[in-house]
Amino acid sequence: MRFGFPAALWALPLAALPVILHLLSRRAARVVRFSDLTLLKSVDARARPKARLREALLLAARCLLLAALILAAAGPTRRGDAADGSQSGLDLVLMLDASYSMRARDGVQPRFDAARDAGRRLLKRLAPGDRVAVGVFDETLKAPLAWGDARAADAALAAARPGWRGTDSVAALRAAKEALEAAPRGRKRAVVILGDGAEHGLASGAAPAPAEGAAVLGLAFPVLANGWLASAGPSPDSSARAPRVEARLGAAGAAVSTPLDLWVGERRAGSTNAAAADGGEGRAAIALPPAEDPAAPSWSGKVTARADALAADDEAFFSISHRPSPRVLILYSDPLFFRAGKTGWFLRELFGGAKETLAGREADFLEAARWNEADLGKYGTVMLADAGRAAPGLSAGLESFAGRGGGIVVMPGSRGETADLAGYPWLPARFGRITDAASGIKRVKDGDAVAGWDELELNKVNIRRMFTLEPAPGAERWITDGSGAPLLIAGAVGRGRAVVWASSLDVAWSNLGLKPAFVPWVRACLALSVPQSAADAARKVKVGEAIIRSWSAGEAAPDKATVRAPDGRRTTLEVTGRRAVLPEASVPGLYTFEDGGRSVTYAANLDSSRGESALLPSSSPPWRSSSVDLLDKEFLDAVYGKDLSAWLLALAALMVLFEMLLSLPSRLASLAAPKAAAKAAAGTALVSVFFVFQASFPSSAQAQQGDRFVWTQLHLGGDWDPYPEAPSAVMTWLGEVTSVRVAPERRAITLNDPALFSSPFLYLAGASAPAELRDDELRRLRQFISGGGFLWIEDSGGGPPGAFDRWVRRELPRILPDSDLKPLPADHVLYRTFFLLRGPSGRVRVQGSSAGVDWGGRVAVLYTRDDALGAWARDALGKPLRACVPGGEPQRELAKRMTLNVIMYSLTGSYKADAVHQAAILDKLKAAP
Amino acid sequence: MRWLDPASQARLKGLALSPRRASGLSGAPGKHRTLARGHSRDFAQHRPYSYGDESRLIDWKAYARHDRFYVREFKAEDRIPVYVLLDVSGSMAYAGEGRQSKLDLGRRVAAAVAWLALAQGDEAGLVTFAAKAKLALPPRAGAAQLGAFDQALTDAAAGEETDLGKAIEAAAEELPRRALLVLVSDLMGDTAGALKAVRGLIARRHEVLVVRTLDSDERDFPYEGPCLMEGLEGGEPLFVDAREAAPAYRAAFARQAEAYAGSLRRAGLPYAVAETGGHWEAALGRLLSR
Repeated sequence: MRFGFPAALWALPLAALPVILHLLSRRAARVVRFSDLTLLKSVDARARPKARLREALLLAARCLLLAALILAAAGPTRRGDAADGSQSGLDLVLMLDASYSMRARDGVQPRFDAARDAGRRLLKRLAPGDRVAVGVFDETLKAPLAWGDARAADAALAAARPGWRGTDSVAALRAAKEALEAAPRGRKRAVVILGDGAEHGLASGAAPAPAEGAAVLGLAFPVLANGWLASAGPSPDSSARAPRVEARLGAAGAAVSTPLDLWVGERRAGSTNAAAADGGEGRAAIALPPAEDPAAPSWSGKVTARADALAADDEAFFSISHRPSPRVLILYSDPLFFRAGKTGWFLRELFGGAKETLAGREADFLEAARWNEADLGKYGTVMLADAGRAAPGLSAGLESFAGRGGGIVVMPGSRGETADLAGYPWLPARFGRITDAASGIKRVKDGDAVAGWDELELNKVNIRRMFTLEPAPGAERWITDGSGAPLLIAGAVGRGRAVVWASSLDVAWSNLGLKPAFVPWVRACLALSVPQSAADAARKVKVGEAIIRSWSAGEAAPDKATVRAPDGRRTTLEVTGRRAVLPEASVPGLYTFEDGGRSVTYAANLDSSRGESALLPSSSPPWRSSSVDLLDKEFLDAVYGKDLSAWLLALAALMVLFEMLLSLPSRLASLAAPKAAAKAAAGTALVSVFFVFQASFPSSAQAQQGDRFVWTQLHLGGDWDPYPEAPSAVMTWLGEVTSVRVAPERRAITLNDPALFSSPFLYLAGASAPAELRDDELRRLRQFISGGGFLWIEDSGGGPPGAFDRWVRRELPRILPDSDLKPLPADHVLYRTFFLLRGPSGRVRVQGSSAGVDWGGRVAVLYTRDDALGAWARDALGKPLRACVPGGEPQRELAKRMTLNVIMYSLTGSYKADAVHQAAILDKLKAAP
Repeated sequence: MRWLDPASQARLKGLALSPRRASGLSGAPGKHRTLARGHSRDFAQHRPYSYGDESRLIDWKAYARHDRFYVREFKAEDRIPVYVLLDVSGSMAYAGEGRQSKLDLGRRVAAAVAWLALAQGDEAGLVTFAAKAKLALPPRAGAAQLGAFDQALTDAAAGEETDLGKAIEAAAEELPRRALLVLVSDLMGDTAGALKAVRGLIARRHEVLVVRTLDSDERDFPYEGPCLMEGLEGGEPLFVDAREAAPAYRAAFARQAEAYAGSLRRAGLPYAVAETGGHWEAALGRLLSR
């Protein structure tokens, strides 16, 4: 990692600031004097580990945050590929691959367009001080590299077009390296190869090492399988009579099977199917239609396969011409020519007669003496099958025939004499005497005519008798016997050619006719007798090569020739030295030379022999590969280095978040802590569930109550609670004096509360009249009382009967219609249930204050106006709140006892009225003060 | 009177210190009833005369009515000493801002209790306990005792570290016979030990009333920021971050308060909490009115 501003790193110790501050804060803590530390210490001991951990994490987060910020400010970059130059600018070399493989389409766009657009995008990222050199290359660099600015480079890229040649990335790299090394030092350097990175482009040699400090990038395209037509040409067995064109199919990446179409001229002339395995070759042959001009059979057109990703290589052009195969005239003079074993017999077998000829040409047999009858213009070759004494005029006639361009093949007859054969002085060889030949024949010269002779067992051919031949100057020796004496000599005669065979086909002379070498030998003789025209040899060129049209000696060469290119343009060429040269066939297709009447077509094809059509990418290119979309990003990373500050800032942000999370609990410490909030939430959930249950189980309140006595007060009316603290004092004293277990809290309920039925004791106080009871409330009260409950109503006003008294006297008959409110007798068991009392008492003593309603043999509702509860009331200091009149404190004591009695009556009933207690109670009563 | 002022006297007038159970000590007359029949002025009941009773106890009017001899029985009055057990450990010296220290509050409470006891005619004594217990003032009845009590309170100085339970037990050693004990302490320390000691007191058949003196700071923990806490009873100072420790401390304090209240209530002991900032007379009144 390098830093843009290393000076910022001096601030790194600041990252330790939080720790220092933390330690200082400890020192600066103020001293607090507290009374007792036991609780604090126990609390602290419990919370210490967690608090310590949180503290440590918080400190670490803060230190990391500061460190990340400082590092980010120092401008860290991961080292890029380009040398760390100064800030003075960038020298960029862009090499655009314009080979024909860049015409392949990935989807919609050709790769050339994608690469070029990537290059133009890259140019937008450059700074003003940067220099760019753009080179367009295929097999060579189209133009030398020149430095310019980004705008010129953009224009150069926009003007570039893909070509038809192959790729040589190594040469491009070399040129880039030279250009960079020639540039002044001190600047950043980068080379970008905008090609497809195919394997074939790097095959020309080892890539040169990049220039010093230069980053090299290239593009990588997805793998694309491709099939192509490598060539279209005459198939090996094609002849003028049965022309066939053979197409070779190549495939790379996947096996290819495609229909092939044959186009001759503008028309489709045939089709077939071809298949090629991945990395292999497939061949298919299609028959050509008959030639238009039988004298000069030629065909030109193209073979097309199904277009795939790279369409440019899916057609191959051909221009085929075969030598016409005119008939052969065979002249013989021996009447026994056709007898078995004689020359004629072999020849007739060969040339078929009724059957197909094996020599590729038709032959007519004629006696030599009648040679005048033949129209020599019809024949291309005349064969003297057994030359002997020449018929009159034959030699001259043959010589002129050959001079016009015909072919002569001469074989001496078995009866011929040397002197007879001297009549043909124009032959390329002179006959000598008859000798015995050495066995075996040898081929001494290579050529198309004798192609494939290696397979024949030439050593089995025995020539027993032969003429010695003396070749004329300029004649070619093609075949010799075992000792080297020439057997077959060919030479030019005028515009034509003549071939001389030293022996005869008679079985007495040689067994050639019986051997498998016979047919090829005949073909060779015929082929050698046909004049070669230079123009036949190669009518195909590769794109980029020059096309040369030459006129042979027999043809008239014009001054100017016009060439029609495949795109239709015509160019006029000068003819010099019988040659017209088109400097470059730039586009694949058919180039037609037109001069006068004749037109000769040449086929220019893509050169796929370099592997250009195999679009397989190289597995280890000598540059940093990137996909087309990410080129500019990779470029910036390679040249300027990857900027890491974004990562550091992200780390800093993460630390901020972490710190906020960690310090959250202490922030909420004063409010309900999240733990308490969670507890509250859980509690609410539980309580709500509980209430759902409680709605269906109304008796659960009783379950809570257990066996404790609860002072249940009725919340009815406005003055229902004159003495809020009095019941708890009652409960306390009740618990102390009796053995009743009390619940310390009083319960205040309304009539609709289900807890109404949980307690047998119900107290109602009031001074003003409450609202009239509704029917359902009445019903509930009635239920309560009939279920065994006791209701104690007290008028807490303490004075004359008022509104509350009237309300009570009105409502009670409604609650219990069949019973009346009657005053209690003085000896009612109520006054004896716990304490022995003389009569009712309370805060006040009112005449006739106690009344009750009997129900079910007991007093179910007690109505007093003495305000017994008022005697319990205390002020804040614990002193009695209200004075008891008229009795004072003793009356208060009695009021308290009365309250207890009433409660005990509600709990235990009237058992004290039983006879067993009578005597003791009476005694006590007498003795009591 | 340093520790008792007329305002407090006015507020506390009429309160009575009375034990629940009668002490059963016969002899010198006091205000409280006992079941034992002794000599007092209140008539309790008639009993048939049996051989050996003093003849002056015979109720002649009853004889006239019933033609049988009945002896009068009187309610016995008794004296019960009242001891104030005052905690003078170091933690009692704590005073909140602008408030009296807990020890001063304790002294006032002690003085009030002594005055009530002496007004009833009972004996009042003072036991102070810190690390050791000291009978600062032997119990005596009479008006002069109040002055001595006051002086003894002034002399009692805040001491050092206390183990509360042991200190209370040590104090119990100083008490010769059944007494009414008013324990005035802040009860800050080992909760279980203190409760055990109080139960020990009850086991010795003392009557115990507990007054807890507190400062509101101890309940609220109103500190902020990092603090170095030093205890008044000595020991290692503690460094806390007050804001983080506060909730846990308050919860622990509340738990301790509830533990005391619950335990003492279950044991049937009157218990009140007096705060230095609030009205301690009301707390004392509630305590004594039970």
